[in-house]
Amino acid sequence: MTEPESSRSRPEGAYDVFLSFRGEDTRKTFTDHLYTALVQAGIRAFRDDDDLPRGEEISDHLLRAIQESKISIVVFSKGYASSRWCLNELVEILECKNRKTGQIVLPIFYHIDPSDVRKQNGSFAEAFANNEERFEEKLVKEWRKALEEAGNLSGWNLNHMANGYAFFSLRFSCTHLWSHYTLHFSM
Amino acid sequence: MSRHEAKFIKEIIKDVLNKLDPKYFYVPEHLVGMDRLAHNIFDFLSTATDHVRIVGIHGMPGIGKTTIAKVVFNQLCYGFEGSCFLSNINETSKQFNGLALLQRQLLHDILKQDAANINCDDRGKVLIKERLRRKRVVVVADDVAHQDQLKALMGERSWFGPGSIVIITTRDSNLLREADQTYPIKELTRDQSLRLFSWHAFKDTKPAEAYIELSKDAVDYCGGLPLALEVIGACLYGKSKDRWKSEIDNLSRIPENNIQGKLLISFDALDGELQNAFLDIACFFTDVEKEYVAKVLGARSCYNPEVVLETLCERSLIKVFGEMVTMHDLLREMGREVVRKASPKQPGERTRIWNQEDAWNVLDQQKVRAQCIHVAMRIF
Repeated sequence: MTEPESSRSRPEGAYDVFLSFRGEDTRKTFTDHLYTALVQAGIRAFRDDDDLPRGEEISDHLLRAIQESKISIVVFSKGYASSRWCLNELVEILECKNRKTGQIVLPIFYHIDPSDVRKQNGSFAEAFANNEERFEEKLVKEWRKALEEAGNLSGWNLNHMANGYAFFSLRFSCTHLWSHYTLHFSM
Repeated sequence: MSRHEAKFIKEIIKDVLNKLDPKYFYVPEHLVGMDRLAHNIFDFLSTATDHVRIVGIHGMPGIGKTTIAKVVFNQLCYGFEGSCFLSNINETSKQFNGLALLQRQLLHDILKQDAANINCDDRGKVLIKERLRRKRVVVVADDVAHQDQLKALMGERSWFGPGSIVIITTRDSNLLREADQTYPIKELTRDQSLRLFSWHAFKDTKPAEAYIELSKDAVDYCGGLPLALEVIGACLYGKSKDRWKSEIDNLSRIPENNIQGKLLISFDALDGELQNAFLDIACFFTDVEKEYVAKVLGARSCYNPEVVLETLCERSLIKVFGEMVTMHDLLREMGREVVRKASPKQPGERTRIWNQEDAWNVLDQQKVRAQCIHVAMRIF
């Protein structure tokens, strides 16, 4: 008799949420608020900071944190694409999502248009002009592909909130027709 | 931080909490003979592909199809964009607009928001196709009995996004023609049967010394069926040898393939109040909140409803998962049959009426007698 597989949960110490962001842009502002709010809600969150000293490759520790998280939140800000750490991390996150174990990826567009992320326009265009000079073509191609994929995922756009759009335009109300009333008569 | 940002973060947290909500199902601690099958299915589904894969699990009632599906679902559900376990499809689809209710659940569980009003299942089909075809999902269709049910929920593979997985459990292997892989569930071997039986009759891996022969006899009458082994085992737990002998004697009189008859032995062993509570649950309260069930049972009997529910649980006649009271469909059918048998022709003479049509007829023709103590109606 072996333990049913199903009772095995995720490894101890695994995170609920992995936060990917550009430290220079949002470390002290938005991402800090978001991280605090996550922790206050009892969500185990891991935040990586691209400013920490590191080698060329993503460390095993970081890789494990990504793999074991249920959700990866990627905060896209204007400077995201000018950090190769961020871009490498994004590639890993999406690979995790697409691999068999998969996971949820939730992009947040912080003062940036999702289509700029998708097509690497606007501030991302400048960053990529620079990237193309400095890094090999294969790597840059991988980054572009990752941004295109991430920009297509359904996520959260701050500009919508600021402009006062109703955020969940697709939230429908439940009508009475579908509520069940069960009556019990005792006779 | 601006007001917008604060609100923005609040919404994100809500979304994250929603997505983190535990989706896995409770499965019994004592699974016997299921590990390998669950493993095989999981292995087959683990290879990465962009195809939508359909897996079928079939076998007779009480053999453990739903349990296997839950084990596999638990392993898979976190790896997908969305997941949904549609339980008891056959029972739910008998309700008024039942298929539309199931479609609604499918959309809701995956999109995490209330779907638009679905007033007929054709509308539901369109919505599922539109909204889910880009989502990589895992969907379990549990206890499917008709082609229509499959057509309403998963008409074509293209309704779900690339890499999605559909698991179907059914008694009827003919419904699995579309499946990429089907897994028949076989009866447990004698050794496995004895082990599962012992978990319930002795809370141990093997029978108590003095009961070995009696246990083997009892197991032989259960036909390798996990549900029967569990219910009969739980029924005999803590009973004297004489009682064992008389129950085994009862079992021996029931034809081999009459599973319901065998399960009835456990019902007959209950005292009157517990029988009533069991019948109430079988007729009205499967998949209903425990608190509500306890309230109604408490008003009807002088027993403490908590104790009643606990005793029925110990006998494996009901299960309490989280806050919900539920019952295996074979046991529910057995209970309803007991009520039906009291007056096969005239619903008004029965102690309970659970079916909408019977209820209307009886009320309409004022044929309710004093015996009819419970009527449940769903008003839409």
